[in-house]
Amino acid sequence: MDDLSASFVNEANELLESLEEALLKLENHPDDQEEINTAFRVMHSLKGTGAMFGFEELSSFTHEMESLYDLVRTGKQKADKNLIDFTFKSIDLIRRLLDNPKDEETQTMEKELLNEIKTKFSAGETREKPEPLPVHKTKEKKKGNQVTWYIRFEPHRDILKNGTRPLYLLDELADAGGIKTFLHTDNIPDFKHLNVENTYVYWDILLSSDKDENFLRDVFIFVEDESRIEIEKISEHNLLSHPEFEKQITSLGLHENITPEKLQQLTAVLSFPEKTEVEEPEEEITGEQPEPPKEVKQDQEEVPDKEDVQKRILHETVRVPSAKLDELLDIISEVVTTQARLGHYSRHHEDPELQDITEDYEKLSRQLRENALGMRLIPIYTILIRFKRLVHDLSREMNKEIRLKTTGTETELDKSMIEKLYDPLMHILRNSIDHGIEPPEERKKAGKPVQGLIHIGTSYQGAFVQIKISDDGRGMDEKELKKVAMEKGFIQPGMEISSKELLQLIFRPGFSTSKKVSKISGRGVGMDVVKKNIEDLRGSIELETEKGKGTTVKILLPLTLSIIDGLLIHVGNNRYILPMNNVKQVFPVTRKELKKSFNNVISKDNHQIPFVNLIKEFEEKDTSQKELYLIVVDYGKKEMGFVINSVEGKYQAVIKPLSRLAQKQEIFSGASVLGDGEVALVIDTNKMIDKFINT
Amino acid sequence: MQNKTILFVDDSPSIRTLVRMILEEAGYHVLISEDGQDALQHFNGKTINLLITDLHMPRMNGIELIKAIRKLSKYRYIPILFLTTETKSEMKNEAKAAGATGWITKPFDKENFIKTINKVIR
Repeated sequence: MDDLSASFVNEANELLESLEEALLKLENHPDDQEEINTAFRVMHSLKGTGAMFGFEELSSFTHEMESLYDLVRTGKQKADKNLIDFTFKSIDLIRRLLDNPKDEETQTMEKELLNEIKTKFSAGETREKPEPLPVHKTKEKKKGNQVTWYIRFEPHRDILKNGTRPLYLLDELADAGGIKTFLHTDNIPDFKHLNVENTYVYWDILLSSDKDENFLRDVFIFVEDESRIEIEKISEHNLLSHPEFEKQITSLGLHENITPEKLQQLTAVLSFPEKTEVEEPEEEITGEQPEPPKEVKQDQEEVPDKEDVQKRILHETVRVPSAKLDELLDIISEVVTTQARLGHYSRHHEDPELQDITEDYEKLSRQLRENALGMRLIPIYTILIRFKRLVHDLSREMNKEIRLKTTGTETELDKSMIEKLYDPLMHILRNSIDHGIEPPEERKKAGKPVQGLIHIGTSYQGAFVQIKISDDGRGMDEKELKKVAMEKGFIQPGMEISSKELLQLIFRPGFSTSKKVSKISGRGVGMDVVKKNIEDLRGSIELETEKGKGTTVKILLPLTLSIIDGLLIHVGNNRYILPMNNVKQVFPVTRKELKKSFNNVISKDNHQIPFVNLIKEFEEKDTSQKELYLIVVDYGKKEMGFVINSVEGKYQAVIKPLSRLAQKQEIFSGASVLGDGEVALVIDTNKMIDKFINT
Repeated sequence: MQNKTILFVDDSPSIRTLVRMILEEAGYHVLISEDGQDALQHFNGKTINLLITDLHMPRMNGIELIKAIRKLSKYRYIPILFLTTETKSEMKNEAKAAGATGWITKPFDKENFIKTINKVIR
């Protein structure tokens, strides 16, 4: 910096010369504004530049002089002989300060002159003085703990117009630590009202950093006057480093919006070991074992984490009567139906504002729906634990040794479904215990372990939950089954029947292979009721068996019951709904292609897809000449195409059950009222596939 | 970092020298002017990524320069920083109203000078 300092001294001397020149002119023309400005600017430059190059005394003195000349500039102080004489004296002092600021004589002189300014010139003036400049020093920042901040940044609409790049500010925040940003686009107007030079987006930000609030405020210093900026410390810990962070962000729905409550929940869930003792949550709420006496508590401080976290989660739960949840779902069904009406109305009215509101309303009702359905989910272990006892007791009674193994018990299902699953599952279990698993001696002879095994495995299968109940018992004998079927008149002698069809007979009313009525599995009111129960839940049931090896019952259930995301389609003059979860792809298809297709198989994307022409199937009139569509749906490993007229779009469908009269049919699972008041039938794609592929 | 071009305007030769050193060391391409009128000559179609200007200058001052730039279609939205010695003042508001993006407070050191520039170009 030495060369630079020298260059500053040169520059300062030049400035002083020009000041002397200006003062001489002012002596003759005390009102010459230009010369006054020159004097002011010289003082201002010396102050700023002097501070830059480390001339602290010079900077603070010229600061006073600048203030004085500001008074002259604004007419509050006359440029009289007194002032000009004083300024000449000041010039001498400034030269000394440039030369050797530490000199004693110079310092006394500075004091005298500063005193003179106070007494002679600025007496009685209340001008707001700018702060004297600090000479820069690199600040030592002590490293603090990583804490977590919540920041809301809503830039002013015109922020881009003065050259601000909001994203750089986010970059700057990101440099300060770990960052998670949530972009909000809901203020973007429709196209007609959109001005591309404006900014409509805003951000919520979670930042973990060791920086303090001043530092964060400083990031926004250029925009703080026009923009809305909120900064709040939400945790004394680095939440972003918590292994559960992303998961909790998603499950609390922070991507949708951020509220103080959600942030509180987030900090509560992502807890870190506290130094101070936390009061134990009330036992009643957690439903956990009573706490051990106080002495043991001390260890807890050393091994807190996981259990502690879980306790807090439980602590946050609220008990609600389940009837209230049902009621909530009913109301939401109405909300969704109303929303469909609103959507229908707004589509037929060219009103951007209305469309805007409708879109928001649709988004909200979907969130509301998902939220309410989410509340109703309970893990399946709540019923499976009841079965453990049942298996234990029953096997005792039968003198059999049976172990019940459960996997995937955390799989969640709607609570109404869980309740309705209890009976069918119990039936299947009873069958396995009674007929499936052999008595110990028989198992020994067959070379099997003495202890029989029943396994209930639950897992997610796309939009479905699969429950698989398998035993390692004796399985079913096809010959025996055939014999019974014939005896009971289900099949005629000499009739060809596949093993699959044979197994389906088990689900017919009145079919039971049990040789005698047993205490446990009853009198053959069995599998037909089970099937009915499962189908009431819009699920399906399948049975596999192998003689000597065991039997497996597979139940497939939809995740939700009453409101689904559907695809609204046109077939002829009617509209239908396909469950969105099953829809895989949509292709346009020409009538020519259909004609060319052989055996109802069409080739798309290099693979062969069996299809059904729903227009023909539903006996609709195909009057239009427009292009048709092929909707590919899948179910397990099978897939199938439906030929339809057109696709209207995504649709939240509240499914209402069909009346008794319509329940005989196999391919519709319900009906839904559309926005315009018409009714659309909901196609059960699984049944459809079963019907057309399996037969 | 690509070679972004910064135009620096100040009537103090020593500050100009100092700033040129700091910016070139940081990898920027630097243009220098000593007042507003001189600075305007640079806005002739070439790319300027950032303008940093002092406010008190003879001939054309910083405020006038900022207003002039905001009228040029090609340079209308470039970031503009001004140099100021005051932490709060009417001058600052006037410069912001004229269309400045932000400011750099004098005295500055290398570190906070670059830090402030990083707020507006990266």
